[in-house]
Amino acid sequence: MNEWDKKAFEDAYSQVKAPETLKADTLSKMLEENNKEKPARQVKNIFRYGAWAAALCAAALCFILLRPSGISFITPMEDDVYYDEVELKDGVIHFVKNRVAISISPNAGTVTIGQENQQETDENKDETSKTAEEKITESGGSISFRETDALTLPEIAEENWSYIGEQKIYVTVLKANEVRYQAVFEKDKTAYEMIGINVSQKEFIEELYLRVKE
Amino acid sequence: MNAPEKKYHVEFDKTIERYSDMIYRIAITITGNEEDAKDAFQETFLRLVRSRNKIVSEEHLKAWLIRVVTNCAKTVASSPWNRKTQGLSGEESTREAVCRTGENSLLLELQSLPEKYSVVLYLYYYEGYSVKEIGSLLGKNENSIKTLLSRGRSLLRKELEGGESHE
Repeated sequence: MNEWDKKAFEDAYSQVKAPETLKADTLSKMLEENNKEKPARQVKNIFRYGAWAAALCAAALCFILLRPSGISFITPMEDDVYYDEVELKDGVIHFVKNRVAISISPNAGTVTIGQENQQETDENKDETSKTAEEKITESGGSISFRETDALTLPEIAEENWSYIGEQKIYVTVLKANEVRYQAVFEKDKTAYEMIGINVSQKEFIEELYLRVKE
Repeated sequence: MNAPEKKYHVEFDKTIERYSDMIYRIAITITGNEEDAKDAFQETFLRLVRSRNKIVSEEHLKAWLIRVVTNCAKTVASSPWNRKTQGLSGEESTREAVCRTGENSLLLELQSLPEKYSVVLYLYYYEGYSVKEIGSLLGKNENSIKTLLSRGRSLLRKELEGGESHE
């Protein structure tokens, strides 16, 4: 840059300054304009964000209503555990993140736990069971859960065992007039049995998950 | 005045104080006329009120102001009203207006140059922008800016040495 040119420009322009009256007048006009702009901006924002919100709601509604049956629906299970809707595929229930893998053996027959047998009376059952809880599910079926000291787990090939985390469980389903799910497992030297009658797979597995984790 | 209004008052006042002289200088360089320069000056700041949410930094603000005042001043200078009235008041009013800001032959000659040269010369020599920066400010490539600078400089030299008019 030519130093002479630069200095000449500095000398010339340093004399040119915006008049104070112009600055004051401009400031008041800016404030006026800002007051005019505010309501217009608010209306514009309402339309802009309103449109986005409406579009998102419509998309969510479409997804819920038109969701093809094959698409998984994520259900919160525990604070950090989420899994796909329980779905039986070749006897295996698939969960996301491989946190839970359950293999259900259809019509494999029930497993007898403890000393009880088929002829056992209800009173005797109560004696062998330390606790027996029963609850009615949303679908109208019932789930019962009980624990016992004695345990005779069946001889089952490894691939037929199911796992919730590290917990080994045996799950069967008997599809007759009533659909009967049974899960047995041993935890801290105690055997547990959970039976679901006419419940959905989702209800049964959710309950089982909670029982194993508790 | 409530709190938000006070906040805007302070914000606008600060912006005017910081950039008013630069905006006014560019406006008067392009329009060569005090009244038109004032119009361009005010229009620039009013546009700022409407577009301030899009401005992300101080550098961006300065560049935005330069671009907008250049456009506003060109619009004002080329308005039909100006073209009609120039014949009546003409060269004299321009010179009178400039004289009010101080007698200065460089400024007078700079104002008589076409705006495309004067703005580039002003941004380069007074504001200290590089050729590349001026290019991005005015939306032109570097070579065009170099050419404008070179031609503007030689025209200005001729004018200052009492050479022939570029017109």
